[in-house]
Amino acid sequence: MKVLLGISTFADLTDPKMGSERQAIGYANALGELGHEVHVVNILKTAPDWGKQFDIVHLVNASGKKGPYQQIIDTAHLLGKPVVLSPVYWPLNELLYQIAKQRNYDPGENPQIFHAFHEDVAGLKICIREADWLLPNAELEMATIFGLTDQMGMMESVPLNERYTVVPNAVDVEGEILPAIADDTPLPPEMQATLADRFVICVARMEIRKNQHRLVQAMEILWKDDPKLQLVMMGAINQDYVKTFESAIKGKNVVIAQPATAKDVLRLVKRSVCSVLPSLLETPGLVNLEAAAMGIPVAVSARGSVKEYLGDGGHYCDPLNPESIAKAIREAMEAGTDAELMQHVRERFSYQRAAQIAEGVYNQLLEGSNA
Amino acid sequence: MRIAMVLSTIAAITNPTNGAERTAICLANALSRRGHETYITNLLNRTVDWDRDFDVLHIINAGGPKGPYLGAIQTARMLGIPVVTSTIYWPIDQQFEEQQKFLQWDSRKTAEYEGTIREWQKQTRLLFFESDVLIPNGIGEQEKIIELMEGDKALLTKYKNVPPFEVIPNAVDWEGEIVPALSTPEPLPEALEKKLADEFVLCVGRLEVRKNQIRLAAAMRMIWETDPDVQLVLVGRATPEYMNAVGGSWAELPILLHDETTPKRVLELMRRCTVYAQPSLLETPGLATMEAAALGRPIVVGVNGLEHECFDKHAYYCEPLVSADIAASIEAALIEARSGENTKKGNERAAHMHGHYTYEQTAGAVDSVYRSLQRGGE
Repeated sequence: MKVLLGISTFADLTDPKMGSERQAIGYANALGELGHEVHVVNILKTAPDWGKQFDIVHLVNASGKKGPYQQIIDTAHLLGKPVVLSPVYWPLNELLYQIAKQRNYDPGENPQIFHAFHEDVAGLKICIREADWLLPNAELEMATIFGLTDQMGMMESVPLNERYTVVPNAVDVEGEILPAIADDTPLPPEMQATLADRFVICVARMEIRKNQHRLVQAMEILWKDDPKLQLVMMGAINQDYVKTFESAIKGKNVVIAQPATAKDVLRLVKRSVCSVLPSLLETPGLVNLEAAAMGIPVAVSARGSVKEYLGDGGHYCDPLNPESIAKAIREAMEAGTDAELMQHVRERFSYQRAAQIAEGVYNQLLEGSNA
Repeated sequence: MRIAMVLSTIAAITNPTNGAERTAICLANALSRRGHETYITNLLNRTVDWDRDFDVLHIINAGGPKGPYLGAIQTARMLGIPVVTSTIYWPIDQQFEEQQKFLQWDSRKTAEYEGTIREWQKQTRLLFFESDVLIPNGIGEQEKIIELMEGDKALLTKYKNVPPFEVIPNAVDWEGEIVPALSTPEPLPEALEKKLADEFVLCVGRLEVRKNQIRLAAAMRMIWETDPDVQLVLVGRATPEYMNAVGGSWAELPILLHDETTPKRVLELMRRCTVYAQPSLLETPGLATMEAAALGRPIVVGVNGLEHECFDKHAYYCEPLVSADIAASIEAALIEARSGENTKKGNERAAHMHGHYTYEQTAGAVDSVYRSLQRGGE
């Protein structure tokens, strides 16, 4: 089968660091292993070569703009090609509220940043309406999409509940997780020199959504009994955001590390005593799955669909409450490796399995269009 | 005729402040006055409503990513709709060198930017080859486009020819902006009024390397040695990287910074300024400068873009990389502003602009392109 995998993103697809982009490449590789010919195209930067006679169009919603997705759906439908959409959607109300609070916006104002968010949601809604099939990554995500479309009074030719299949996010067990576990190469000396024996790691862009400032407040609580516990934060830096907690980490047991390749990130996660991600929103956060697949205990926000993935194996917190974040980290460290969770994640959330589910949907749609 | 006019831009198009976006809106309005039905779409946010049965797809090549344009062209082709592209293109090699210098980019940042530029050139080339007619706004721009397109032999072989060109200059909105700005000027806020000097040199544009405000300020320092009361007023959004490069060097100087603002306030500042200076590394030729010229103000402009083609003898030219040259041109413009000739030269400048650069003229020329495409591109 020839699959056009379209993604609209400002990020680089050749060495992706962001979740949606890594997921798209992961799906593409796994579909390739199943014998399909997959063409990954960043539709924000170029247009697909329709001369390749794709059988199916699979769009993966990423952080880029939504107009290009709509354009691809239009063209695909003109050519009679079915379109599936991985919507990667979650309501952003709380996040917007936090941004407004931090930047002292008047709630009545509609600054450009909010306008862009709303514009993107409106654009995504059109894609959801026009796509032939949706591939949310959790039942909970689909529930929020029902909410979105109800709220917007969207009319469907085929109701949403009759055209979706959950395709979970995945980790690359064979290609990344197992090699990282087996890799004994020491970390680069400059990195090694900064690391304490015991550290908790937060791998994420430093921004309001990822909530590192409250993580630092949680660490203050933990440091009272455990001053040697280090916090390592790895990811690209939003300067404005980091300024808000710069003074709080000055002189503290904190390391800020530059973003690294997926391989190096996993090597570092493997060394940690706990992976923590107290985000205001995760769906469910690739790093959470990767840490769990490596047997590293995970402290995560109770928001989003992460519970659907980690079940009782995750250590959950209220991301707005530093006490709760500290408690989740403490519990995670005490619990240590959860072998059952590790096995569950490796088996259930592999790209191979995700690709098989997606393939089933493709076949079903093609049978329908040929009937 | 039904026209799908499209842009790819991260800027707002409902109340635009950027040049390409403002041009699109004004051109659409002028085309409507000629009886056409024009629908503007920002392709980054929405797709064209193809059910409207368009006669022409008109691409306004704004600063956004090119993928959406290429996608829209594909659909237009399937539907048999001809494609016209307003090119808005100029190579940015010099700007790139200056960015490295002023912003002190390391090798990683430089390599990243080089990659972005290569990609931008590749997609821009493709966009131009895929169009049926290209509309640059000057002969100089057309030459640069040919250089760009001929730079890729493989594409040239594939497409056989560069599409035909029709040079149509940018315009200013006389009825909507210039005439009201002169007849019923918008009063400036009291706070701003208090800060303005009697004489000031105005420059409107994002504070960034391309607009070259650091050298403009350096030029003003030379002027202030003998003429200390002339203020420099910079209107535009400050880019943090560029302001880092400025550092504290503008402290204690008679420089007034004003964030980007409404077109009405900008026009009033232009009407009031002594000299309008836009010594950019590149302008094609710059909507703000065209408006200042239309208001009759003495204008100082660079020599690297389309300025000469547009303003001819009605501007003071400078080499934007040389602060002393910028200063000399500003001094000459100040002399005009303070002399008895002021009104005469100003009127001539305004008449030149009115004679050549109205949206009615632009829309008429664009209309001819559309009609020739309808007749099969004769």
